[in-house]
Amino acid sequence: MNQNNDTLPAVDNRGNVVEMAMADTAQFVTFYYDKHFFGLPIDDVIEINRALDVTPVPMAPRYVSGVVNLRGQILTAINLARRIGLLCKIKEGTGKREFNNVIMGDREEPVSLLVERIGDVMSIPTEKIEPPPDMIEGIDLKYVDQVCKLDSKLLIILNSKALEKAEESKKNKS
Amino acid sequence: MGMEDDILKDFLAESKDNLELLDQQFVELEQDPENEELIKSIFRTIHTIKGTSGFFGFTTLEGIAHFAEDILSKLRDGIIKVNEEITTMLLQSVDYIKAILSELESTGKEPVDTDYLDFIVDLRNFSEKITKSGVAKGQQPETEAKETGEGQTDAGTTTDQEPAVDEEKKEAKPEAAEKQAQDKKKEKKPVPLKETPKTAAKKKGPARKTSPAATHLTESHVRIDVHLLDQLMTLAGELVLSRNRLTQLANQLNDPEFLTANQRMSLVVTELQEQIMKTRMQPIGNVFNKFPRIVRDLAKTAEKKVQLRIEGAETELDRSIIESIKDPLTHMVRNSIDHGIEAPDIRVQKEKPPVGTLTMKAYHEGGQVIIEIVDDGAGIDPDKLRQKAIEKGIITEEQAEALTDREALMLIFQPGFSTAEKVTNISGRGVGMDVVKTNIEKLGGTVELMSEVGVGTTIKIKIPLTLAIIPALIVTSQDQRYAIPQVNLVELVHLNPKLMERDVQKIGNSEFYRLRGEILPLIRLRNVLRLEEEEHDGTGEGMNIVVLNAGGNLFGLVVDSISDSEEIVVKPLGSHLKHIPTFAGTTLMGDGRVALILDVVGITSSAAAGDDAMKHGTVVSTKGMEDDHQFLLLCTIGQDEYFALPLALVNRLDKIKATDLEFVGGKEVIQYRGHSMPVIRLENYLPISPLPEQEEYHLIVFHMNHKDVAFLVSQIDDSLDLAIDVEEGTFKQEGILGSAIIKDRTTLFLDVYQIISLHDPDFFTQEDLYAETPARVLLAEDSTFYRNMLSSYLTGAGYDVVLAEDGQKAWEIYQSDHFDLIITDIEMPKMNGFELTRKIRDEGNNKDIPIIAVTSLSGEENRQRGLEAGINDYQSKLDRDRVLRAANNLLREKALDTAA
Repeated sequence: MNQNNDTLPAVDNRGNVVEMAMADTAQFVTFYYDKHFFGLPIDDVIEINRALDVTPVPMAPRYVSGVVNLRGQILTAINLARRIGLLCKIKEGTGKREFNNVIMGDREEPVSLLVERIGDVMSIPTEKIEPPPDMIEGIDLKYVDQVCKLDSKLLIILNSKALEKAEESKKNKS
Repeated sequence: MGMEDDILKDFLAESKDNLELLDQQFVELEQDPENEELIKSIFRTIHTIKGTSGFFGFTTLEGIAHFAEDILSKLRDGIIKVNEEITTMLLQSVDYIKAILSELESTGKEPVDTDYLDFIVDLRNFSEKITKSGVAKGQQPETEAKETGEGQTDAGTTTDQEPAVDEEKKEAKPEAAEKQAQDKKKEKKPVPLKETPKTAAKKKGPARKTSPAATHLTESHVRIDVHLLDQLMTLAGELVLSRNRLTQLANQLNDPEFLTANQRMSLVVTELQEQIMKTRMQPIGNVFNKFPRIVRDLAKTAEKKVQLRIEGAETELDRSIIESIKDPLTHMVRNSIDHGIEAPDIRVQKEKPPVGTLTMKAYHEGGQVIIEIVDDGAGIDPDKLRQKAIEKGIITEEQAEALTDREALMLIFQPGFSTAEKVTNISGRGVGMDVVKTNIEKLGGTVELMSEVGVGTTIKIKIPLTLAIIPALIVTSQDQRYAIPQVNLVELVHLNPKLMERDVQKIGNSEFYRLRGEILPLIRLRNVLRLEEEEHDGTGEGMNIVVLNAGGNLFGLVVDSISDSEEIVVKPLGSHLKHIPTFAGTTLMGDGRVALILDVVGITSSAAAGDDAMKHGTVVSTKGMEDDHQFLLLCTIGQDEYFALPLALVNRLDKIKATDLEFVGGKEVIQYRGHSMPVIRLENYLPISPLPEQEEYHLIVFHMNHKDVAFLVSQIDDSLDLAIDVEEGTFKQEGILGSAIIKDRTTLFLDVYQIISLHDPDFFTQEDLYAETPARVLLAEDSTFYRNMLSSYLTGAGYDVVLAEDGQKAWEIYQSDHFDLIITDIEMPKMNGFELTRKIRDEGNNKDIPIIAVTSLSGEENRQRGLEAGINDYQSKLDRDRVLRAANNLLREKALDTAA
């Protein structure tokens, strides 16, 4: 998992600045949820894991599906659709649904992002990357960093910092 | 001796690390002579060595370090500048220091060799020289030094040898050894570390090999980040799980070759895991070794003769635990010496050897480490303990009689308990064994005490091998497993449907179980976790109750099923989930799935704020102060009179038939459990509509002052765990403490004590008051409800009570008036009870006024803090009898003191 950093060029996704020696491209891990197509800068992704067993946590925030066991480390599993307010028919309570885990974020405390289907790693010329439009149907824009218009669809580049940030509104446990 | 050895070991290990660093730093310094940070860091290292060697009396080492420090301090202050010569001299000092350290490590003594002394002289001269030159010539120390160097042989020699040092450093050992062999004395001075010990050894005569000392100095220990070890441990655990799966597969496939390969791997994995676990382990000897000295000193102070025996010092346990058991152990050893072992002359009279024996023993047993502290002293007399406990108001006489001897012995772990007849400077201040017990329990351990009068006492401590692993009970609710820390567990109860019907009472939305006559509130885990209710209620199968202790309050947690007890590894929850009060963490189960660890205290508070109250739109604010949380019992009289009272006051709930009521001597009574018990109708004392005629009445039974009395009500509705926040004023009158809106209804809080007193003025009479004139009490309490209640029963008992709604107010009133006693809440706005106490003790005009702290939760930690702050006694607010007894005792003590 670490070799990503060695073999792949460094991409700074925070701004529009992309530091690269070669032709200016950035790499993204892509995945699907419902009909939407998402991407995360490859440096923000630690690994991808097929269907880890999610243990539900009662009374957790709605966007948290539960916790997963990643080789002994216990990670919070965040449902992408619920997190970004995606308006799609999340089949509630229809038994077990298989999700893929995109392990991302801070290496000290990574989170697992639950997505439906994993796509390819895409290299995208930086000039094709644009700031997000004023509105994307049913998605909270604070989680969207940039977008990229591809031939057939729109790649929504997510902001990993926003995704993994715990909501402060709740009182801390005393 | 042991202690010093330890310190020496630490000192050596630390110095070695630092010295390695020094070599590197000096080289850096040469390149970057202006780097102040670097100079400071080097200076600190040398300074530490100087200080410590001074402490041990290693004069040679101290000398070298001293002069090196001298030079460094000049560098630091900018008097001189770094040059090659200075660096060389300093590096030489480091080499000498290393040589001495290595000698210390192998023999425990400094090497006796004139070489070292010569070097000190050299170093001193050099230091003086560069100072002069530095001051005189300022910027040209190097030239200056060289010039002077030619004049003075010693300094010159060192300069000459500088290249040799470098060379030797680069070159392999053999050559260096060769050189040394043929060398004259002056060439030995700069020899690098590996040689000097050899030289020293040779001169001393005995054939000691060089290599052990040399290797020791660098290679036998490596410092590793504990975090890294933790990660290794986690991964090893995970490896075990993967292995388990593989084994399953192997068994299914039944391929002999695969099976053999898997078996082999299994062995290696198990071994690996064990070894990794060991990395965190340390022998308990690290703590035990400190005791010979402690025991010696204590015995001397106490004028006793004690021989210490240590067994099982090699027993290993987790590093973090080792550190935290030291203080409790010290405390227990103190107690044994101070109270246990008798003075030599008494021992002789008792036909015991004059020297007492104290044994500290450690061993493994059933996955735990057992530590025993055994003395052959006087032992503890359970009867004395009982007596003392009664005197101190910790237990009542009846309770004392009911205690077995073994239970009575455990009394010494009660807070505020000390059997020492006189307070010595060793022990007997009443802050002691309870702290020991708390500390051990914090580690997930237990303490037991066995004693035989005249023969001796054994204290047995059981602690888990590691902190990260705790024993827990696994329960299931909605097919999910949850772990409950065993520390909170009191007992398990399974009810078959028949018993359930008989003993579980449903009041409103709350349930209670009558556990041996005590009322135990029940909380259903699925309600707490807001899990969807399944179709069938599960009533057909009975009920599984886990009786838990949440900070002194017992409650029953109803779960679907109870599985095994397991040792679990605690892992924290992520930041998204940390705020959920119900969970303390997570753990991995044997099958690789995650289970949540329940936070028992969190469950009670979350049950309080739970759907129950919310659905009904409770307005009672849930203030942050846990102090004011109480289980309340809600009841009604007729259709529209709503009342609440603290459940803790209630002894039992019952139903009776109207026909059971009888009149005796103008008072209503009922035959209850073999004696007649007065029954109180609230309308007789409160301005409310009378209790309507019913076939059956509900009875709320109180047991106070060794007597039973009951309230008669129409219906018992519910019980809630709520933060009590009452309004007084509107309903201020006798028998009512205030009101609050609970579930959209105005509910009156009953003053149980006052109502009972109104009914029977003699009910509470006992030797309540000591003073002839009413004692003046200052009561500081922010909660209106408790303030009224406390004031009511204190006034009822004859005290003259002045109220203050927070610590600040209390302080102001206190300064302008005279009181005999202060009763204070702990958690208060503006100034809390601890601060108030401290203030009174420090600045007050009546400093030694008795102070009682009252609380609704008896947190051990609070108690401890309170005692430290100078609080004399610590009681539960609701327990009228105890508060009054404590007040009375303190006043009496005070009066006796004054009289004396």
